Amino acid sequence: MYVAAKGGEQAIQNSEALFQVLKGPVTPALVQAVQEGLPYLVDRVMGEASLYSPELAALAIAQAGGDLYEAVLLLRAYRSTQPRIAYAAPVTPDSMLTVRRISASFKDIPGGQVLGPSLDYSHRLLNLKILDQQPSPQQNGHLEAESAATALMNLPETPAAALYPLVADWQRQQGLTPELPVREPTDAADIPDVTTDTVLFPAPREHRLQALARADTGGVLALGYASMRGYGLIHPTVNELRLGYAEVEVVHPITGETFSAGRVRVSQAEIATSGGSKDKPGLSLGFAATMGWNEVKLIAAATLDMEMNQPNPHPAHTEEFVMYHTEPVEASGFCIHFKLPHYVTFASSLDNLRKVISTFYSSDRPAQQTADLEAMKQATP
Amino acid sequence: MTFAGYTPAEKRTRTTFLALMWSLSYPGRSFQLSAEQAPFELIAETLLDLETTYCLSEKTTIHHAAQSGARMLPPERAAYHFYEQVTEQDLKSLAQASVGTMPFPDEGATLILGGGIDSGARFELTGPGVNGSIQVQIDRIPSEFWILRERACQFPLGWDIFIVDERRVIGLPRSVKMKRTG
Repeated sequence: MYVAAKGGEQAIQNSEALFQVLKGPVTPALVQAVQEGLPYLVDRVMGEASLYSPELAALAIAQAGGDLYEAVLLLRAYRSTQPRIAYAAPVTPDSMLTVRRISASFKDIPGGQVLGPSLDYSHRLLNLKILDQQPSPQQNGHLEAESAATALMNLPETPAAALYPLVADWQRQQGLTPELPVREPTDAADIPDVTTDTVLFPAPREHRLQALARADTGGVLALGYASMRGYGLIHPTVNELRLGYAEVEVVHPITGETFSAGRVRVSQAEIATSGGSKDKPGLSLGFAATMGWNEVKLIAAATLDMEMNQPNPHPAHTEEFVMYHTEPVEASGFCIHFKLPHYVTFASSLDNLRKVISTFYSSDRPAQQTADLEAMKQATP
Repeated sequence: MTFAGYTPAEKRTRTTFLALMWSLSYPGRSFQLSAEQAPFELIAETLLDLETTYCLSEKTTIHHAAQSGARMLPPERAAYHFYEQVTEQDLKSLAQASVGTMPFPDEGATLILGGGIDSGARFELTGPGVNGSIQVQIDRIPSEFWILRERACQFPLGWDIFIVDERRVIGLPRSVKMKRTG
């Protein structure tokens, strides 16, 4: 139970002022620096907030002093004030302008592996020379900014392809994965929307994928990692991981023509494991996609997608558990609400505690109560 | 920090929304709509957008409804029902308006009906938002409609109704009890 906290207004104002002073000013230059210099952080906030706006995400990060839960909350709150003005056409993976696409299932996938931008193959060494403002040549095999630029100048003249087929389609042609169900054309307005609908379980596929797309990266990773360490029922293999750009195609409200309103960074992961159906053994797939580039979240989320498809998953991998406990704003909000005054609840607990102490543990307690206490101690394992 | 002011459309829809909100908060009390546009245009502009649904009676034309991006659906699936005049023939489609379900009572329809206020049939309203009871008079609504309403409004299920008379609007939320007194 909460009680109304009156007074302390000046202290509250000072508290916020102190936060602002310690954090430093939020300036357009800072917002621009965050947007340009920390794209993966911006992507993470945009994905968890379900709003694609690098500038506003950067502003949220700067305004929150880098507190990601606060930043996601700020951006979601802003999103909730904006009307939905159009529905974009669905984005298919083979229409995505792909810059990175790897598979751990097969080396020679159709279209080939495209490493694209990644730190996967780098040494994880802090470049302390940056702090000394010294030039950073290639050192110990680690490509620094300058040498990276040089490396890019040595690219072959023929650029990599922009579009790639799906690994799963190739497997499907070989009969390794089941055929995709044929779906009736759907009015975009009828697609379930986890941001406005009440969530019921079992959740529609749309709700599950939307919830994973906007889930807390850390939460998804924790539950996904638990599966990978052995609490799960599957062993995931990254069938295909993609980073790229998707065209936001909408219909012009007056001319009726389809046009691209811009490109957004998107990523998706597909996880494979052996399984299939009783009638036809093969591969089972788990899937996740999100706005922005966030590989670790997607691999964990696609793993959880497959865990949730299992007949009797670990309790922490049921759909309800995963969807409820990886929701960043609800989870962080509930956690920090415990800072609110709980004086009455706590006073009530304390009353009970004092009563127990005075009844059973005070030196002048009656003999019968002493006997009861001894009996309780005996009974307690 | 500076904030942009309201655009004319935002100001208009905000004023209309407040009138509609207060009219449901105080059932039977009339609130004033802006004179900038026809009242049904104002209400449609305020309530409809891409993610909403509506239906119109045969005699109702609302330009904003078509421009809003909202979907026009059959009466049983529409969230907002606009009837500038309610005739005996309209009762059949009004009867199909959704009352919601126990898990989702919010899916009950909102009916915007043209009628007369302060003349016609007399009703005594009681319930949430009414201090004791309040007397209202509503005209130009077929009396059978009120029987339909009584059947439909089994709280939390039912319809939320606005009666619009020129610039005035009164709200009859599903939670209010209506007793015919004359």
